[in-house]
Amino acid sequence: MLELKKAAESEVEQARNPEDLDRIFNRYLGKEGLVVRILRSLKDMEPLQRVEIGKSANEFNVALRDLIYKKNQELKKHSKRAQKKIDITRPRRKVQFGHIHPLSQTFRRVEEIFQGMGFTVVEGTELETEYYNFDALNIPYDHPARDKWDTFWIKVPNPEKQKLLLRTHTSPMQARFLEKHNPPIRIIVPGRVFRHEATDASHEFDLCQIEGLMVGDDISVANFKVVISEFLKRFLNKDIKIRLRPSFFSFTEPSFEIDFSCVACKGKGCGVCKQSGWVELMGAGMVHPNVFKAAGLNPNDCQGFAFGIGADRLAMLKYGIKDIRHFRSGDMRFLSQF
Amino acid sequence: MALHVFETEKIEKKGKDWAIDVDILPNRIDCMSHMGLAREIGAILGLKLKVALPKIKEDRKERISKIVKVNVSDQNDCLRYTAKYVFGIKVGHSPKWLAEALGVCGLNSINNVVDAANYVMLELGQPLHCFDYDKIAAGAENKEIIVRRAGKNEKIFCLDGKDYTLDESILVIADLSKALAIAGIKGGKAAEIDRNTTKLVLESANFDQHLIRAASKKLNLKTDASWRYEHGLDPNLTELAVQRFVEIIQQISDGKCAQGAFDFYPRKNLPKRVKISLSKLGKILGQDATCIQVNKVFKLLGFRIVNIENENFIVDIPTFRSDISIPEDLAEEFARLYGYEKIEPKFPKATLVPSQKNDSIFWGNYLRGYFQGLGFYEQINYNFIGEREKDIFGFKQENLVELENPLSTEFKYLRPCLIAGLVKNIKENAALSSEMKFVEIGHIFEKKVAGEFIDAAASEKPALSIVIARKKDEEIFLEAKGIAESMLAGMALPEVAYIEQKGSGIWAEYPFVHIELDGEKIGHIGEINKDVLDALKIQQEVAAFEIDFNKLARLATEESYYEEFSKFPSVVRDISLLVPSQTRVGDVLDTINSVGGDLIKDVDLFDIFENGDEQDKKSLAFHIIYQAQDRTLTSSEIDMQQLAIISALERNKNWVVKKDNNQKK
Repeated sequence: MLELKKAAESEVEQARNPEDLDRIFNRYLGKEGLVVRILRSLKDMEPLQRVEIGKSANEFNVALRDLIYKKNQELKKHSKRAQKKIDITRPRRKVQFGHIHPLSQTFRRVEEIFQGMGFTVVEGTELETEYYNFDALNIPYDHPARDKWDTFWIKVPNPEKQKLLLRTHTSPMQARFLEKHNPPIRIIVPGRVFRHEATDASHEFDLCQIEGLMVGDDISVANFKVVISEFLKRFLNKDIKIRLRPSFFSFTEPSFEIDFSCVACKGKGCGVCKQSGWVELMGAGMVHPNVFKAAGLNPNDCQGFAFGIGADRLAMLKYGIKDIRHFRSGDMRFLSQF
Repeated sequence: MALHVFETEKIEKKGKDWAIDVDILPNRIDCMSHMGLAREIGAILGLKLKVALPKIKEDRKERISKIVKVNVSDQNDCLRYTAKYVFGIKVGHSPKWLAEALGVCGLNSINNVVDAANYVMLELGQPLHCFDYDKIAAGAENKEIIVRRAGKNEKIFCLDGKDYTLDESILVIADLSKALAIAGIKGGKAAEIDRNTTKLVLESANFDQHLIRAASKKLNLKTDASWRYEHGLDPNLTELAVQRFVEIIQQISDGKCAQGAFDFYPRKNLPKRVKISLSKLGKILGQDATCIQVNKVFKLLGFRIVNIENENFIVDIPTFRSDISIPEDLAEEFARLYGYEKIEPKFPKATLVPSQKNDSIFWGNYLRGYFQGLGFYEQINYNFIGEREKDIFGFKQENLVELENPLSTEFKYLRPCLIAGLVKNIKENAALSSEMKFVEIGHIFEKKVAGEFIDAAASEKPALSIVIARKKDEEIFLEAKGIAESMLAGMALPEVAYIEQKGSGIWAEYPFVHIELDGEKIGHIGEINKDVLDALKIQQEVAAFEIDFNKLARLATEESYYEEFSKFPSVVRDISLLVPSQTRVGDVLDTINSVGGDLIKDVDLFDIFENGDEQDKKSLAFHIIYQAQDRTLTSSEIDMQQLAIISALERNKNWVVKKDNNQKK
């Protein structure tokens, strides 16, 4: 028994890997192992011998298990796997993640903010009738205000009876929505609009816009100021100031432009804000009574504001993009940055 | 100034003078002059405008009525016509001050008479026109100026050196024999002021704004005068302008003028009366204003307060403010002078109405995220395609929505699909990457005509498209189809059928499938026609799909239900078989699934091998995963299923199941 113990100890000592230990374990302690055989032979022995051998065999069993366990732990410590080190600075295969277009991201963010303020997102069509794009918005045919919108007209079979165009703004949805819904109304309309004009770094003929409309009993200029400040604060993640400047739109009265304090120079004057400290953002105003009338609502019963934000411009401000033409260039070097 | 009325663009020193570029809003034609702007600035600063009345000397011996007569044929076309006769003038260079003043404002000096007229227009806003008296045809008693509609095809040779052909919709100033000017737009050569002119008839008139605008558009001729008329000038301005012109002419050219003026003015423009209550004003602005505040602002603007009763303001609006006619206009006037910055932001007291979910927006955002995860770049392409794309992609002209006034032939039609744009993106990014995956969600247009009209609603619909491009990838179609399958499964639309069809146009004939959901076609998947790729010099294989986004968003659901998973072990058995190379995997899968019953959890094609020992054959190998919901399956149960599958497969004489391989795993 002592020899057996010595032999086992020396074998364990010399074991070089877990497989060697497995073999040792099986030889001594396995189902057909030496210890098991000894234990099995106990029944044929003298009672005294049986006790002695049985006891030492059990002790051997426990000690060898312990020894193998310890040796195994030691081997693990020195194994290749435990010692393996990699150069963490070495690049391996890149995980290819895609990119969502910055204009989509802008739309999404704007939608989320306004939804948080109880606005519903609705969409309109890009083909629009002359009536909804102009007449329903208090822009009659022979009014010079129409010249403000350089319009793409669609070739139709009978131009005398049908005038179809690509909407020049998202405002037709004001008229369409007001026709079918009663106040209170809170909507925003994200979408594409089209202007017949030459492109350059700040002009595009295929643009993205977000229209807003809030109508109730007494929705006021003061309410507009708070809603739009809250929106800008959340969108730009900065505390900004806004100012209202008088303007003219046929479909709002009073009308104003909204500027916000330049984030780039904190209002001191820089290239972004043309040294004025203010950045022009959007047109807005109180819905003109004629727009309510055209939609079949009584202007004495309702009041509210409307606004239109250029989404391209918003994205340019947020991401610091200098040329509007990048958005529709399809260039992966541009898109991969978002 | 920007905060109260107009934006100023730039302030520039010009000579000894300064020029300020002011963006006059289109409804404020009253400010299109130095006097008007000064009046506005006066209102902002709380100062009163002083207008010095012109001092002129009239020659009592000459009476205008004996010299010239004006005959206006329609008082709706010509609201006012004021004429004055000036004689004894010497046409020559303008004095320095006059030429310089015009120069600062961007006008060239022509001669003292024309310059004086232009100067008055800039100063007061009233366009003036001078006719050489001697060139006006003589009538029986005196010379006659006629304001009438042009005849059909009547021609006039204008001061810009161009001939214009007129018609009955255009108003002219004429003498008895010919047109002398296009009313309110441009003077004619016939009665032009030249070096020899000594007598002139000065016109200071007002014409119907719509008439002038229509004529200006028709002739494609915009002038300082036409621009002013079409925005609606105050007819009351003509007289002051006449006086001022004569005053200047008498200063610079010894001109004399006949006593009196001819003045056709049948319907005097009277001040409009507009009412607003303090409560209405407060309601619009969201902030109360006091009687004193409102009173002060209205007075500064020159509004005559007729009555203030029970906090109702009744005011008469000066005639030059044609832009004010309703209470809301008064609210704006008050707000801009009082200062928008003084209005405190206030959260609305509104009923809590929950915002509605918009499915199309929701699924659009969901899919953008989905494709981002798969490594796609989202594209936003122009809505337009050109003649060249039409030819390359094989679009049919009759299906395209065409623009009446395209920017160029490059943007002549509205896109009938998104794929054309995405394929172009592949070409344009070729230098950056050989493998590309693009997605776009946008509107597409296919012309649908109903009777005499284009059915706009039916002609436009939103779509979702992807393209995948990779070099030498013969199975790229399967990748596109796989993406469509997992995308639709993720939107709880697993019961989709893919019906093999023949592709055409932009699509390769083969492979091409229709995607159908409950028998409704919702899109198609295919490879791009090699001719298209060749024409664009695209070297990659390109597969794509396009799906009707409205149908997708309508049919998709976010709802998903949890199904208890089996707690019992699953068992995998393999089947491999040799089939003719044209046999479709889908048919084999269908056969396996049809006999396998509920115990089959999944069937997985793990190997496909062609060009083996036997020509025209391919070998397919499947893992068949068995699992029951309620028990551990016994070997004999699985053996029976497996045998059933094998015999079903072997019912097809051309399919040979390899026996040795179909062992336990």
